Amino acid sequence: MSELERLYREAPKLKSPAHLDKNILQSAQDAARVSTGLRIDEDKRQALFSWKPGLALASLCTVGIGIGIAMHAGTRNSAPSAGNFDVVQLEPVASRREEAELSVAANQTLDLPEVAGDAAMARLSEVTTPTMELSVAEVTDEAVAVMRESDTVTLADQAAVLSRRDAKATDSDAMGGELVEEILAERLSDREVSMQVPRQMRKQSANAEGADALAARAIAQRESRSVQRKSATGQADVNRWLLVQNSTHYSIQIAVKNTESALDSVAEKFNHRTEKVIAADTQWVLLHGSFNQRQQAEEALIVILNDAEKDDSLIEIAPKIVRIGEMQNLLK
Amino acid sequence: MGDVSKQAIRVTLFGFPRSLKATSDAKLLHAYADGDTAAFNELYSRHKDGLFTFTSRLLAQTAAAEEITQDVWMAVIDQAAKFEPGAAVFRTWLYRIASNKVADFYRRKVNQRTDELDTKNEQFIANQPDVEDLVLFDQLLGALAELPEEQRVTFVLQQEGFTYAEIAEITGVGAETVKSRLRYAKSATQDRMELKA
Repeated sequence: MSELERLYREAPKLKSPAHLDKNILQSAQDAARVSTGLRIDEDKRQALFSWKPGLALASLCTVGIGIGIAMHAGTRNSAPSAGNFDVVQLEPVASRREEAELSVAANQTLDLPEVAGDAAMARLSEVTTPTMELSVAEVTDEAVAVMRESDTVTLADQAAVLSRRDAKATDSDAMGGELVEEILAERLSDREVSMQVPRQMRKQSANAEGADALAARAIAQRESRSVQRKSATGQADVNRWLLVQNSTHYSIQIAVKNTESALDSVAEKFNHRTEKVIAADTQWVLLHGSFNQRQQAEEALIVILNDAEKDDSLIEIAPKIVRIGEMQNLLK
Repeated sequence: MGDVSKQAIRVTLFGFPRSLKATSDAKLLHAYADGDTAAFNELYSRHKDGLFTFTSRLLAQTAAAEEITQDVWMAVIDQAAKFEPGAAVFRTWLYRIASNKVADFYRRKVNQRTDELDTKNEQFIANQPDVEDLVLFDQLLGALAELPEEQRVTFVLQQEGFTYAEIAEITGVGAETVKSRLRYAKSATQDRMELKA
């Protein structure tokens, strides 16, 4: 060892200053806290996007049979069913559109391509899924009755659903600031056992409405929509925007109540993260956002859902993430 | 409770590591990435003084050394989840980050003179009663400060105990280049110290 090296190595190590230690350790703690929070969000995401296949399938089968019967009775033809956010062009007025509106749930968003002819309708029918997601937290007594009548839903699953719902009621009564996180987790967990129930069928079977009542209500709502449509800003914009987006990108579609506050609340969150927010002019608001990666879309969705969970009235239909290419296909 | 803490409980039954003290750097970092702050505290305590000494002697300015040291640890915190034990030894990874930060610092301060030296600091003085060594060490720091950055980093890394291969990994050059830089660094430092003496 040279003299130079000896001199250096024998010099005592410097001690990291206490204030530096404090800063760094505090930062590490803060980061870990954030990281843990993100992991919880990730768990919630997993819960949100996962299903208990047995219960979901059983519920789907149960109500699916009902849907078939109701649609057969309530419509002239087997009109296409729109998915939660599947696109609908309401112009121009055509008999096919009326048929579609009669067959689609009273509360569903309608958005079809401007070229909505028979081919487009048929294509829409092929592509879309006539179901929507309801969380257990939203399960009504009627839905529980449907579940109980099902031969395929086990007693254990029924008990689990009811238990969760009852627990939620209790929690809601006792809700305080410190419980918000816990309840949020519970609610998202509830979605894990959510059922896919067509909204129109849920309403129909729950209220024992006949096909005539459903049709009358759909007509009334259609008229209501037509009034709103006059002040609409959007369907052509929606279509134009969709067609120029990168087909590999992802979009979040979410329907919120078409109230000023609900729209502003969600749109604000989307605006932070997306290129564009579009509101369709229907009873429900349809929002699109473009994300390069699915994970980004999911993260944005988690933020919105976390906020929305604090306000049950905000989001009425479970959101979904779709490839923009799928939407573009509908327009072609 | 993080993975390491759980592991510590589990392995106690078999007579293996009983605490964080007996856990590798990589596992501590992994545990921290999973939210175990105790693991980070242990990791930090292992390397904090060495890293601070390293940055201090490279930068020769206490304030800058503190700033860079903090930046390095922030990078560790940010990138904890991305660290791959198979790709690097933690200590090598840590000093590579530090080395890069120091290089960035010098790039920013390329025109700044080195007459701000103050790292002959009180701690050294307090612990080193030998006045002759104190003077020599002061000269050494001054001579180091005048070396080209890559030679200074290479020299200090070697004095901190890294092998040629590790220094090569940290600085991103070949082992032969490391040896060459060391040779020049020592030669130039000795020359300068003799001149000043």
